[in-house]
Amino acid sequence: MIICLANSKGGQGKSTAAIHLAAFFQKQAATLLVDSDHVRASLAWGREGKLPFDVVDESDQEAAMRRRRYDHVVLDTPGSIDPRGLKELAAGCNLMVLPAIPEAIAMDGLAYTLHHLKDTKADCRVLLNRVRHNRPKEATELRAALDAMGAKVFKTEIPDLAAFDKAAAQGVVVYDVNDPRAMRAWDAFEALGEEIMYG
Amino acid sequence: MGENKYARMAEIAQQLHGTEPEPAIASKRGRPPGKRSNPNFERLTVLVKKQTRKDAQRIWEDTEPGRDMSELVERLLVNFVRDHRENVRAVG
Repeated sequence: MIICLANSKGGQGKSTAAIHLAAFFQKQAATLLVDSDHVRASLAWGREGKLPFDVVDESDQEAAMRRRRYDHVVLDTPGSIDPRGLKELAAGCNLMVLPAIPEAIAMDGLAYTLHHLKDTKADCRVLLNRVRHNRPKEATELRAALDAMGAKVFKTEIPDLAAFDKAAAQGVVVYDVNDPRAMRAWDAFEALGEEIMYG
Repeated sequence: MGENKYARMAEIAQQLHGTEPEPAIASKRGRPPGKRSNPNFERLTVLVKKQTRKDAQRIWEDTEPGRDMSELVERLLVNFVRDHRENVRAVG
Protein backbone atom coordinates (compact mmCIF):
# COMPACT_ATOMS: atom_id res chain seq x y z
CA MET A 1 0.00 0.00 0.00
CA ILE A 2 1.23 3.52 -0.75
CA ILE A 3 0.03 6.16 1.69
CA CYS A 4 0.78 9.84 1.34
CA LEU A 5 0.54 12.41 4.12
CA ALA A 6 -0.22 15.87 2.80
CA ASN A 7 -1.69 19.23 3.73
CA SER A 8 -0.78 22.55 2.17
CA LYS A 9 -0.77 24.05 5.63
CA GLY A 10 2.27 23.13 7.70
CA GLY A 11 2.28 22.20 11.38
CA GLN A 12 -0.73 19.89 11.18
CA GLY A 13 1.11 16.81 12.43
CA LYS A 14 1.96 15.15 9.11
CA SER A 15 5.25 13.75 10.37
CA THR A 16 3.75 12.43 13.61
CA ALA A 17 1.05 10.72 11.59
CA ALA A 18 3.59 9.43 9.04
CA ILE A 19 5.83 7.95 11.76
CA HIS A 20 2.97 6.22 13.54
CA LEU A 21 1.23 4.94 10.42
CA ALA A 22 4.57 3.53 9.26
CA ALA A 23 4.95 1.87 12.70
CA PHE A 24 1.47 0.35 12.34
CA PHE A 25 2.11 -0.96 8.83
CA GLN A 26 5.55 -2.27 9.79
CA LYS A 27 3.73 -4.67 12.12
CA GLN A 28 1.99 -6.11 9.02
CA ALA A 29 4.90 -6.08 6.54
CA ALA A 30 8.12 -4.25 5.70
CA THR A 31 7.43 -0.51 5.48
CA LEU A 32 9.49 2.39 4.18
CA LEU A 33 8.93 6.01 5.19
CA VAL A 34 10.09 8.57 2.62
CA ASP A 35 10.58 12.09 3.96
CA SER A 36 10.40 14.85 1.37
CA ASP A 37 9.64 17.64 3.84
CA HIS A 38 12.26 20.42 3.79
CA VAL A 39 12.35 20.30 7.58
CA ARG A 40 13.15 16.57 7.47
CA ALA A 41 11.12 16.02 10.63
CA SER A 42 10.65 12.30 9.98
CA LEU A 43 14.34 11.78 9.25
CA ALA A 44 15.24 13.69 12.42
CA TRP A 45 12.78 11.53 14.36
CA GLY A 46 14.59 8.42 13.14
CA ARG A 47 18.15 9.75 13.42
CA GLU A 48 19.03 7.52 16.38
CA GLY A 49 17.86 4.40 14.61
CA LYS A 50 15.23 3.53 17.23
CA LEU A 51 12.30 3.35 14.81
CA PRO A 52 11.14 -0.14 13.78
CA PHE A 53 11.05 0.75 10.06
CA ASP A 54 13.40 2.39 7.55
CA VAL A 55 13.31 6.14 6.91
CA VAL A 56 15.00 7.78 3.92
CA ASP A 57 14.79 11.09 2.12
CA GLU A 58 13.37 11.17 -1.39
CA SER A 59 16.82 11.11 -3.00
CA ASP A 60 17.49 7.68 -1.41
CA GLN A 61 14.02 6.22 -2.01
CA GLU A 62 14.80 4.36 -5.21
CA ALA A 63 18.06 2.87 -3.91
CA ALA A 64 16.36 1.79 -0.68
CA MET A 65 13.52 0.13 -2.58
CA ARG A 66 15.93 -1.73 -4.84
CA ARG A 67 17.89 -2.97 -1.82
CA ARG A 68 14.96 -4.39 0.07
CA ARG A 69 11.36 -5.45 -0.51
CA TYR A 70 8.84 -3.03 1.02
CA ASP A 71 5.15 -3.87 0.97
CA HIS A 72 4.08 -0.50 2.32
CA VAL A 73 5.44 2.95 1.53
CA VAL A 74 4.51 6.05 3.50
CA LEU A 75 5.31 9.39 1.86
CA ASP A 76 5.67 12.45 4.12
CA THR A 77 5.43 15.71 2.19
CA PRO A 78 6.15 19.39 2.92
CA GLY A 79 3.46 21.92 3.83
CA SER A 80 4.61 24.02 0.91
CA ILE A 81 3.70 21.40 -1.67
CA ASP A 82 2.31 22.99 -4.83
CA PRO A 83 -1.06 22.00 -6.35
CA ARG A 84 0.59 20.08 -9.16
CA GLY A 85 2.72 18.08 -6.72
CA LEU A 86 -0.40 17.29 -4.71
CA LYS A 87 -2.22 15.99 -7.77
CA GLU A 88 0.79 13.94 -8.90
CA LEU A 89 1.04 12.32 -5.49
CA ALA A 90 -2.69 11.72 -5.25
CA ALA A 91 -2.62 9.96 -8.60
CA GLY A 92 0.26 7.75 -7.52
CA CYS A 93 -0.83 6.63 -4.07
CA ASN A 94 -3.57 4.33 -2.75
CA LEU A 95 -4.57 6.71 -0.01
CA MET A 96 -3.92 10.36 0.76
CA VAL A 97 -4.21 11.25 4.45
CA LEU A 98 -4.73 14.93 5.21
CA PRO A 99 -4.01 15.61 8.91
CA ALA A 100 -5.75 18.70 10.27
CA ILE A 101 -5.78 20.18 13.75
CA PRO A 102 -9.27 21.39 14.66
CA GLU A 103 -8.76 25.14 14.86
CA ALA A 104 -10.18 27.96 12.79
CA ILE A 105 -7.01 28.68 10.79
CA ALA A 106 -6.56 25.01 9.85
CA MET A 107 -9.56 25.23 7.55
CA ASP A 108 -7.88 27.62 5.11
CA GLY A 109 -5.00 25.30 4.20
CA LEU A 110 -7.27 22.29 4.25
CA ALA A 111 -9.84 23.89 1.97
CA TYR A 112 -7.03 24.82 -0.44
CA THR A 113 -5.70 21.25 -0.39
CA LEU A 114 -9.14 19.70 -0.85
CA HIS A 115 -9.94 22.14 -3.65
CA HIS A 116 -6.91 20.99 -5.63
CA LEU A 117 -7.70 17.34 -5.00
CA LYS A 118 -11.39 17.45 -5.84
CA ASP A 119 -10.91 16.47 -9.47
CA THR A 120 -8.62 13.54 -8.72
CA LYS A 121 -9.90 10.02 -8.34
CA ALA A 122 -7.62 9.46 -5.36
CA ASP A 123 -8.95 8.29 -2.01
CA CYS A 124 -8.31 11.41 0.10
CA ARG A 125 -9.38 11.46 3.74
CA VAL A 126 -8.98 14.07 6.45
CA LEU A 127 -7.55 12.98 9.80
CA LEU A 128 -8.62 15.08 12.77
CA ASN A 129 -5.35 15.40 14.62
CA ARG A 130 -4.32 16.64 18.07
CA VAL A 131 -7.91 16.76 19.21
CA ARG A 132 -8.09 18.31 22.68
CA HIS A 133 -10.26 16.33 25.07
CA ASN A 134 -11.43 19.47 26.85
CA ARG A 135 -12.52 21.16 23.62
CA PRO A 136 -14.42 18.48 21.69
CA LYS A 137 -16.59 21.10 20.01
CA GLU A 138 -13.67 22.16 17.78
CA ALA A 139 -13.40 18.69 16.26
CA THR A 140 -17.17 18.33 15.94
CA GLU A 141 -17.44 21.64 14.11
CA LEU A 142 -14.55 20.89 11.74
CA ARG A 143 -16.04 17.46 11.00
CA ALA A 144 -19.41 19.03 10.27
CA ALA A 145 -17.82 21.64 7.98
CA LEU A 146 -15.91 18.93 6.11
CA ASP A 147 -19.02 16.77 5.81
CA ALA A 148 -20.84 19.77 4.32
CA MET A 149 -18.04 20.13 1.76
CA GLY A 150 -18.38 16.45 0.86
CA ALA A 151 -14.90 15.64 2.16
CA LYS A 152 -14.20 12.21 3.59
CA VAL A 153 -13.07 12.21 7.23
CA PHE A 154 -11.67 9.31 9.25
CA LYS A 155 -13.88 8.19 12.12
CA THR A 156 -10.73 7.83 14.23
CA GLU A 157 -9.41 11.02 15.81
CA ILE A 158 -5.89 11.42 17.19
CA PRO A 159 -5.87 12.95 20.69
CA ASP A 160 -3.59 15.83 21.66
CA LEU A 161 -1.21 14.09 24.06
CA ALA A 162 2.21 15.07 25.38
CA ALA A 163 3.34 11.48 24.77
CA PHE A 164 3.71 12.32 21.05
CA ASP A 165 6.08 15.20 21.84
CA LYS A 166 8.11 12.92 24.09
CA ALA A 167 8.25 10.32 21.31
CA ALA A 168 9.57 12.92 18.87
CA ALA A 169 12.17 14.15 21.37
CA GLN A 170 13.35 10.59 22.07
CA GLY A 171 13.24 9.45 18.44
CA VAL A 172 10.89 6.53 19.16
CA VAL A 173 7.35 5.41 18.39
CA VAL A 174 4.94 6.58 21.09
CA TYR A 175 4.46 3.07 22.52
CA ASP A 176 8.11 3.17 23.64
CA VAL A 177 7.67 6.37 25.64
CA ASN A 178 7.46 6.26 29.42
CA ASP A 179 4.22 8.17 29.79
CA PRO A 180 0.93 7.14 31.42
CA ARG A 181 -0.96 7.99 28.22
CA ALA A 182 1.51 6.47 25.77
CA MET A 183 -0.66 3.43 25.05
CA ARG A 184 -3.74 5.61 24.61
CA ALA A 185 -1.77 7.58 22.03
CA TRP A 186 -0.68 4.39 20.24
CA ASP A 187 -4.19 2.92 20.40
CA ALA A 188 -5.44 5.89 18.37
CA PHE A 189 -2.99 5.12 15.57
CA GLU A 190 -3.77 1.42 15.75
CA ALA A 191 -7.44 2.29 15.35
CA LEU A 192 -6.55 4.53 12.40
CA GLY A 193 -4.47 1.79 10.77
CA GLU A 194 -7.32 -0.67 11.20
CA GLU A 195 -9.78 1.83 9.75
CA ILE A 196 -7.51 2.21 6.72
CA MET A 197 -7.18 -1.53 6.26
CA TYR A 198 -10.66 -2.73 7.13
CA GLY A 199 -12.85 0.36 6.87
CA MET B 1 4.16 11.61 -14.30
CA GLY B 2 7.83 11.79 -13.52
CA GLU B 3 8.42 15.49 -14.18
CA ASN B 4 8.55 16.80 -10.63
CA LYS B 5 9.95 15.24 -7.49
CA TYR B 6 6.56 14.32 -6.04
CA ALA B 7 5.52 12.57 -9.20
CA ARG B 8 8.85 10.76 -9.12
CA MET B 9 8.30 9.66 -5.50
CA ALA B 10 4.89 8.23 -6.33
CA GLU B 11 6.22 6.62 -9.47
CA ILE B 12 9.10 4.88 -7.68
CA ALA B 13 6.76 3.74 -4.89
CA GLN B 14 4.31 2.32 -7.42
CA GLN B 15 6.95 0.57 -9.48
CA LEU B 16 8.99 -0.90 -6.67
CA HIS B 17 6.73 -1.58 -3.69
CA GLY B 18 6.27 -5.27 -3.08
CA THR B 19 9.09 -6.19 -5.44
CA GLU B 20 11.95 -8.39 -4.40
CA PRO B 21 15.29 -6.63 -3.97
CA GLU B 22 17.85 -6.81 -6.71
CA PRO B 23 20.50 -9.38 -5.88
CA ALA B 24 23.57 -7.80 -4.39
CA ILE B 25 26.79 -8.30 -6.31
CA ALA B 26 28.21 -11.38 -4.67
CA SER B 27 31.71 -11.12 -3.32
CA LYS B 28 33.93 -13.80 -4.72
CA ARG B 29 35.42 -14.93 -1.44
CA GLY B 30 34.37 -15.54 2.10
CA ARG B 31 31.31 -16.86 3.83
CA PRO B 32 27.90 -15.30 3.30
CA PRO B 33 27.22 -12.49 5.81
CA GLY B 34 25.50 -13.64 8.99
CA LYS B 35 23.98 -12.06 12.08
CA ARG B 36 27.35 -10.84 13.33
CA SER B 37 27.72 -8.47 10.40
CA ASN B 38 24.04 -7.57 10.24
CA PRO B 39 23.53 -4.10 11.78
CA ASN B 40 20.01 -5.10 12.90
CA PHE B 41 21.47 -7.61 15.35
CA GLU B 42 23.52 -7.07 18.46
CA ARG B 43 25.30 -9.46 20.79
CA LEU B 44 23.61 -10.18 24.12
CA THR B 45 25.51 -11.84 26.95
CA VAL B 46 23.42 -13.24 29.78
CA LEU B 47 24.01 -15.65 32.66
CA VAL B 48 21.64 -18.57 33.05
CA LYS B 49 21.87 -21.79 35.02
CA LYS B 50 23.87 -24.47 33.22
CA GLN B 51 21.15 -27.06 33.56
CA THR B 52 18.50 -24.64 32.21
CA ARG B 53 20.58 -23.90 29.11
CA LYS B 54 21.31 -27.61 28.59
CA ASP B 55 17.64 -28.62 28.87
CA ALA B 56 16.47 -25.75 26.67
CA GLN B 57 19.10 -26.44 24.01
CA ARG B 58 18.20 -30.13 23.85
CA ILE B 59 14.49 -29.40 23.42
CA TRP B 60 15.19 -26.62 20.87
CA GLU B 61 17.43 -28.86 18.76
CA ASP B 62 14.83 -31.62 18.82
CA THR B 63 11.87 -29.41 17.96
CA GLU B 64 13.51 -26.87 15.63
CA PRO B 65 16.48 -28.65 14.06
CA GLY B 66 18.92 -26.36 12.28
CA ARG B 67 17.98 -23.26 14.25
CA ASP B 68 20.40 -21.72 16.70
CA MET B 69 19.84 -20.62 20.28
CA SER B 70 19.77 -16.95 19.20
CA GLU B 71 16.49 -17.62 17.43
CA LEU B 72 14.98 -19.16 20.57
CA VAL B 73 16.02 -16.17 22.69
CA GLU B 74 14.73 -13.75 20.02
CA ARG B 75 11.38 -15.54 19.96
CA LEU B 76 11.09 -15.47 23.78
CA LEU B 77 11.96 -11.77 23.93
CA VAL B 78 9.51 -10.86 21.16
CA ASN B 79 6.74 -12.72 23.02
CA PHE B 80 7.70 -11.02 26.27
CA VAL B 81 7.49 -7.55 24.69
CA ARG B 82 4.15 -8.34 23.02
CA ASP B 83 2.63 -9.70 26.24
CA HIS B 84 3.86 -6.71 28.21
CA ARG B 85 2.30 -4.27 25.75
CA GLU B 86 -1.00 -6.16 25.74
CA ASN B 87 -1.06 -6.11 29.57
CA VAL B 88 -0.30 -2.39 29.68
CA ARG B 89 -3.07 -1.77 27.18
CA ALA B 90 -5.54 -3.94 29.11
CA VAL B 91 -4.79 -2.05 32.36
CA GLY B 92 -4.68 1.42 30.79
